[in-house]
Amino acid sequence: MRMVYSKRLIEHFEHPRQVGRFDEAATDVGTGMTGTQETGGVLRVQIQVGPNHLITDTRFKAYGSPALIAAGSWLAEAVKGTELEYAGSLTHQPIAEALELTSAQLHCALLAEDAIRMAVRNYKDKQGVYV
Amino acid sequence: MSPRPVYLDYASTTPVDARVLQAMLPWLTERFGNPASTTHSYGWEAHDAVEQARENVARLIGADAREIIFTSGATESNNLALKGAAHQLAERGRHIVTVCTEHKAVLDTCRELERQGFEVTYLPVASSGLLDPDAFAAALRPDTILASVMAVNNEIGVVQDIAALGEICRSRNVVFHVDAAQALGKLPIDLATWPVDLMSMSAHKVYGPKGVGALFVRRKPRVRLMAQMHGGGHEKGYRSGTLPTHQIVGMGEACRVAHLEMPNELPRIQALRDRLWQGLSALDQVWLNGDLQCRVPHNLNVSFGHVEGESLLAGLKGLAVSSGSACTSASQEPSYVLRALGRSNELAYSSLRFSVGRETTEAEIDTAIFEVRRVVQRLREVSPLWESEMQGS
Repeated sequence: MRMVYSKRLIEHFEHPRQVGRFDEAATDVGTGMTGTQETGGVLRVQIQVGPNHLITDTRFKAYGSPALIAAGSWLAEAVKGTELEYAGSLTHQPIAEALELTSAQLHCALLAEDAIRMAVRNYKDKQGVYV
Repeated sequence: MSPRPVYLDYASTTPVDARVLQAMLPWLTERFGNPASTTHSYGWEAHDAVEQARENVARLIGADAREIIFTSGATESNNLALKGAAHQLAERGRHIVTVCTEHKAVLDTCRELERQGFEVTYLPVASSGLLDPDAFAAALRPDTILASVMAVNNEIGVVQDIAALGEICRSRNVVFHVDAAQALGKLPIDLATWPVDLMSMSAHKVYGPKGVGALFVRRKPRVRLMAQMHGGGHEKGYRSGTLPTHQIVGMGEACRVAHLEMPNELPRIQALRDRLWQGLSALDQVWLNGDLQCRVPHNLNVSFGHVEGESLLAGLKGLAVSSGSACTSASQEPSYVLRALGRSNELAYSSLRFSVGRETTEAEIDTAIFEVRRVVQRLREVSPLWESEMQGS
């Protein structure tokens, strides 16, 4: 079981960005949590949204493989400073490409996609925004 | 180039000892004769070297040299012992008893015997990894012909009470096979007093070369086997095939050196292992797998709560250790040995087997402690599950 990790994946795994937690109850915070411990991966992504639907800051935490930790880290960094709509439309593809995920690692990008979408929806639900 | 990882995987294999290599080399070049050649001195000297090696192997385990059959390794020895005994005794009965934490070389051989019409009972172990002798005795039936129990488990290093189990077998007229691949050179073995009929050994676990092993076949009371490899009738007909003199000399020398070094080496290795355990058990939620007392001195098998197995290994690239996650994907089965102890899948996946050896230094142990602590703490810091665990406590 020799695993293949890309350089960028290793870099994010060893130096994850935006690690931490926002208060889930805060009205300007959206939280998305995906995966289960039993299936080997749990990812939490949080966004803090400022005026004009701009994501001012992000946090993530992950329990799982290096690919999942890297996917969470990459995502949290990538959506920081972007618009809510952009973040909500992000798919697994740019994540998989950026980290050069193998087919065995691809599910980590899918978990990340689910997590950011849930985070955006969670924020919108709090704000009463239905788009 | 980054430096080579610290090697703490001596239970997987060991480097060939310098003394062993020196002993082997002449038998590859100028002394290349076939030990079976009886017509000239090339053959005679090779034959004598093989017999000297046989003496050395026998001395390490308290056996007679005539009871040693050279094979290609412990896997072949296990196959020869189990199939050879089962086929020999098939008319007397078709029931075999073994343990669910045995090595695959025993379990898969038993599966094959089941396919051939034998019936196999796979006994469970306690959470310590130890087999209950009473449960073992209760599993033996009038039609039981053969039992196989490993002396030392390859993953968790626990030592079974071979003498007690052997007594039970002898009193019930059951042939008793012991897989001693992980025991040779790691604990005193005395077949003069242990009631064991067949015992498998491997050279490369004791600083000998890969590709050679041996099977002990007791002479008194005599155990008969049906050969599994047919040909020129080498090794008393039990195992045909030209003897690899250099390999056999290597195994003999490895056993001679082990016999010599054990009194000093084992306490030193145990002190290093204990230092490692002391350093690792300072972490929160660290679980030792298998009994600590009934254990070979060089093995440590530990599970780390709330740490995912693949990330643990990926983070520890400075250490060469074994992992309880047979594969990195959660869909794959984790270690069946740890599952048999009652460990959860998560804890089985997050287990590491450290095994200390002849060349391990205190500095290497301290590096290992430092690295494991660093990686475990880092993975927990990024884990949302650890965070909730800490808030809950």
